[in-house]
Amino acid sequence: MRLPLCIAGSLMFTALLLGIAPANSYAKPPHKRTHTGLSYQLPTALDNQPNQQTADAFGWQIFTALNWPAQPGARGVPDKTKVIGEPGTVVWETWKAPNEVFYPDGSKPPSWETYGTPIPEQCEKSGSSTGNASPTVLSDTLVNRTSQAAGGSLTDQHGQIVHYQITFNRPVFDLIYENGYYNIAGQNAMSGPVNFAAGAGEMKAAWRILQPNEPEAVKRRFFRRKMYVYTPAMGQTPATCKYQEVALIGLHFNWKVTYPDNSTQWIMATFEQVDNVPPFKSSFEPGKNPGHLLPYSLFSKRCYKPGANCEYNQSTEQGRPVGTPTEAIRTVAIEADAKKLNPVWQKRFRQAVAGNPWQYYQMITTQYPSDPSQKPIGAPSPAYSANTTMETYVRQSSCLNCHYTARDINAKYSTDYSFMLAQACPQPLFPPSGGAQTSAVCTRQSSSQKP
Amino acid sequence: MSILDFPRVNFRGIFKTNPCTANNDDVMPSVVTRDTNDLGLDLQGKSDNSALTYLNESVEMHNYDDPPGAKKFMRSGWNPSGDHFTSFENTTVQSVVYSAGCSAVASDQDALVGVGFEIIGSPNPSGSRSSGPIICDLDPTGLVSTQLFVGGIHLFHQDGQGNKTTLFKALHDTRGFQNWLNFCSTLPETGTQYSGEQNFVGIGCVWQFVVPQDKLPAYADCNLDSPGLEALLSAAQQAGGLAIRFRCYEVEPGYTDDYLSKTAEEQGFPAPNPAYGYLIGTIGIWNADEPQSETAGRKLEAHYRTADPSQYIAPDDPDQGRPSMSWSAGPGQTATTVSGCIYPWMGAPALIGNAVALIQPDSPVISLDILESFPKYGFRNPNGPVLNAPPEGFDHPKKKAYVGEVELAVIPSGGGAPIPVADIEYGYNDYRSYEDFGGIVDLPFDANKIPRETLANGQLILRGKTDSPLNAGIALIKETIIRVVTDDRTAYIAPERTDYPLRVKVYQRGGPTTQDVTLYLKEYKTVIQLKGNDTCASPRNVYRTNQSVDSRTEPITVADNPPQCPPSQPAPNRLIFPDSVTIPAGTTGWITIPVSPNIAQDPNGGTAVFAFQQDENYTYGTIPPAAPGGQPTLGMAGVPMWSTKNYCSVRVFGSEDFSAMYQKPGGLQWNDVYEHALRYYYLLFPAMSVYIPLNYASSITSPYSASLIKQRLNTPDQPAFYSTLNMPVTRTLSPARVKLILDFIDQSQSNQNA
Repeated sequence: MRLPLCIAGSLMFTALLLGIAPANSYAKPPHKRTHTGLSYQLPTALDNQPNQQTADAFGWQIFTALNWPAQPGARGVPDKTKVIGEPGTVVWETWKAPNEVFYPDGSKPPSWETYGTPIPEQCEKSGSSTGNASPTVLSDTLVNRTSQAAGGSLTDQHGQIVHYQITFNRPVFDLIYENGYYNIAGQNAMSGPVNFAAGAGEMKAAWRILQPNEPEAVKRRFFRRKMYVYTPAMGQTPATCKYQEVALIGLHFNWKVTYPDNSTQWIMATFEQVDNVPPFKSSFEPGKNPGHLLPYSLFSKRCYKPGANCEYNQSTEQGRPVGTPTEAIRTVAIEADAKKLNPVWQKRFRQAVAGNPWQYYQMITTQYPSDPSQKPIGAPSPAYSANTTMETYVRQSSCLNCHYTARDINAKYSTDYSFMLAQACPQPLFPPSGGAQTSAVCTRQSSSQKP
Repeated sequence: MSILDFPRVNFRGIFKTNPCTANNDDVMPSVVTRDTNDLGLDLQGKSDNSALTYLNESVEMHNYDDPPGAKKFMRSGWNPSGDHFTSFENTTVQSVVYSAGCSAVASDQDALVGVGFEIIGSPNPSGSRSSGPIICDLDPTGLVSTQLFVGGIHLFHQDGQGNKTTLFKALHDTRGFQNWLNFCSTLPETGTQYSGEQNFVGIGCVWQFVVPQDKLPAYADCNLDSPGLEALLSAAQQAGGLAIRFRCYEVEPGYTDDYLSKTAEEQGFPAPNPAYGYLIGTIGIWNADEPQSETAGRKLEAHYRTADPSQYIAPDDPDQGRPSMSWSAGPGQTATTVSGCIYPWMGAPALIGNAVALIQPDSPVISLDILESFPKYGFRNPNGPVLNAPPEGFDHPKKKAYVGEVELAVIPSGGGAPIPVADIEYGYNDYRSYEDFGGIVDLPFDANKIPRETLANGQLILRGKTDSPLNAGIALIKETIIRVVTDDRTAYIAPERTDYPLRVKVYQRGGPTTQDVTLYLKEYKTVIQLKGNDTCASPRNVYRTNQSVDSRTEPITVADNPPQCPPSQPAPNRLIFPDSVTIPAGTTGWITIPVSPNIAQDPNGGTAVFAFQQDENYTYGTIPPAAPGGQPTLGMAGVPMWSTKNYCSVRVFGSEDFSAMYQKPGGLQWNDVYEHALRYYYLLFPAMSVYIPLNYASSITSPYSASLIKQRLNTPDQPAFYSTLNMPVTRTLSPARVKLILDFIDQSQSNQNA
């Protein structure tokens, strides 16, 4: 049914008021509930010169489209009959995980549609399989995903280590797959820097393990999954794999877009569950109760007591014992425009689906190159961006600056802000009998030369 | 040849620079231990988080209070988030000068006019986005020389959407050095006190670097039909290459200190706060036998007090030789008379900057570079810097300070009254021409009245005309007959190095000398301080040392500059060098002076300024001894050598022994490496850790970080040390600490592979 022109115009006006780029249409899924401004469509271009407001709106659109329920049987495809917040595997969960692409022996991975990955034997014993859906195992054989990018593990207030998950979409996979970059031999043959096309996307999620005795009033505020949670050996504690319920506490998206000047740029949006840590201002004011009734996932309210003497953001790399709850605080405030926009989107989620868990997530920042002509990264805005669940111990971090350093496995060429290629031929956590792999396709070039 | 020859291409635009200020000891001396990579007293014993919080705190400043308590600075300065990248913004070619009186000022006259011009960084071997030019002091904790590392130059067309089409690009890793850093480059309007945010906005300086001809593209490869570009490249190919000389002035941070503090409080970090200033420059010809770091020719400079009273510009001046100069908004306006600069680090007489002259061989024209000579009048932001839109204030009307009617004159070789040569329009009546022609004026003279011999053998001066309403008859600047230059303006010397070659060259009236020249070599602590007791604080401590934050609203007292500062027990020299060197008459090449680190007596190293003086008894920047044998007094009364002279700054890296750290069980420990080599940068250069967090072993030893660090971390003996890609950009990490980091990475990788 065609809408009368006046109503269509009214909808557009509403969208503009809400800070949404009109270029990204709001196709109305065939669904009963109201979900104005929510779309499964992924934006790939910015029509106007970006500013912080448009970048933040863009970040929320990415968030919405990637957390949209996925179409069963296909990878990376939204289910247009559903709306965000309804049951089902979400789009980014159907993307490829690194361990599906980068095998310890460097062998060629299966095609995009095919699931399958080696899994730790502990998980096999627990009943997992290579699976026909993703994810089946939270962790993988590639790297210790209990470690943050800059080092150190994060322990929640229940003494459970936070686990991380990474996936990437088809444009990223295709470039790696078609160029043979899934092993070192393929990267040894590189002749120039990597350049992903607009629409390339990567995602990192941070999960905490839910405790059986946590009240439903707490748990319902999380996007939850039941997974096989693999925890590598730490000290004298052997590796384990348990089937557990986990709660999403952090979510980070890297998305490549086309700018108005036709250049392609990365935009990086980072989100957290709202119960992670106290708001920025009250974090530094011991003695003041923040008024948050529910427990924080990563911060103890006892630290508000005068004289509590809590050591904030102390990493295990700084000697804090693994498994001791981390007292995490937000050192970089939620970006001001994101702070204004968050309630708008949270309300949309709330209105779209009753009890929608996504209403309990907030954007921390969407970082974008504010002036691509500025060397070398294009003047990232905001200058700093930190997800408390992923960059807990980096005082002033920046997504774009950090990812700018990404190189291939030989550190010879830029890999266009993606660290994926550096994961080729990983050391298996549980190497097959006989020790580490010795595959010919996993032999590095000689050490990199100075420029 | 030099940029004063023809052809020339002139440009103007906006200068943007983004240095990190957290370790500037003139801002907060107790944050760092001077001349070292060690943290100062205020940070010692603090955890990383506490130290960062402390650095970002706002404190009241005691000597800029008007009213008291109103002014706040952050402990880490005006730009703790700076990354040192520097660029030309909105910079375009304004004119092409083919010969005296023949020029193009519009694109329909020459297609080169209006095209964009920028300096660029070294090419990134990884193929990622290129780097940018990097500004950094030889010693960020002191007062020595600032360098601008450049990877090349770029001329381009730019469309409305900002897309650039290259017309001409030349890649060459090189450096420019500050020349004539002065606080009087912009003067306040009469009756006002505003000197800009952070009180350094009056500064201006000139930079020059060259691109040798073998790095230049052929004109046929340039995508532009321009007779000016063709002539320039043709001349450059036949000479040594291109010289790029430019001035930046009125460089001002985008945010006020108060706003910066507010961002730190609200966001958890201070907003990046690059500074913006005016930019005017020239691309010209460089001959291989000319200095690279400054313009060749006959140099006129603000004259300084010497031991010989006859050398005073104004010997009758009651203030021991400072020429009293006046400026105003214009003729008939109330004039301000000073005997020097009224701003911090008052150095007199630095009101009028240097000039360089070339008598054109083929025509009765003297080309005079007065780019840096005459100050601007009034600041573009009289009410303070703008927020969020830094270039906005650049539309403010510009004018030169009126210093009277000025002329070029020559004092005959036999002495006598100066003979007027030509009137000088220094930009007071036509600021736009000053900008559009790179601050160079081509002055015709009457060869019948002033024979070339008189000019060739006399002494050039710029003076107020005898009938000028202001400064009548006063010599503003004066030719230095013997000019000493060095291109080794900064040197990084490893502790084990011996006989490091510092090169100097002497000219007489721009040509070969006709008499032997003896240079007396002196080492200074900084450009304004004789060597003294190194425990003394900087004279410009704006905080009171060893006091709590709350008490820093008091004025500076003698306690801030303790009386033991005068060199009652002078620190040993950092360098071992000859007392003097005599250069035979007629010498035209570079003379090498070997210097060696004095590690035996000064094992910690540090920075020093090395001056080549013609006057054995003169001491820059100090009040001379009241009586023979008396001690000079540290102070600001003399002329800072940075205002006039070509000098060399040296950084001697300390001789450090970390061998005990290698002997520990398991080899090098992360805590040792962090404490001795990385923590300083993690705390004071947060811009580095947004790329690779420096506070975690796993961060710097991850495969990609480790490889990147190995590529970028260099020592002074490696060419890559001088590219814009080198890390750390401050180049203050000693070879021993570089080795410590690299060995730790190797050890970690070896352990991982075991």
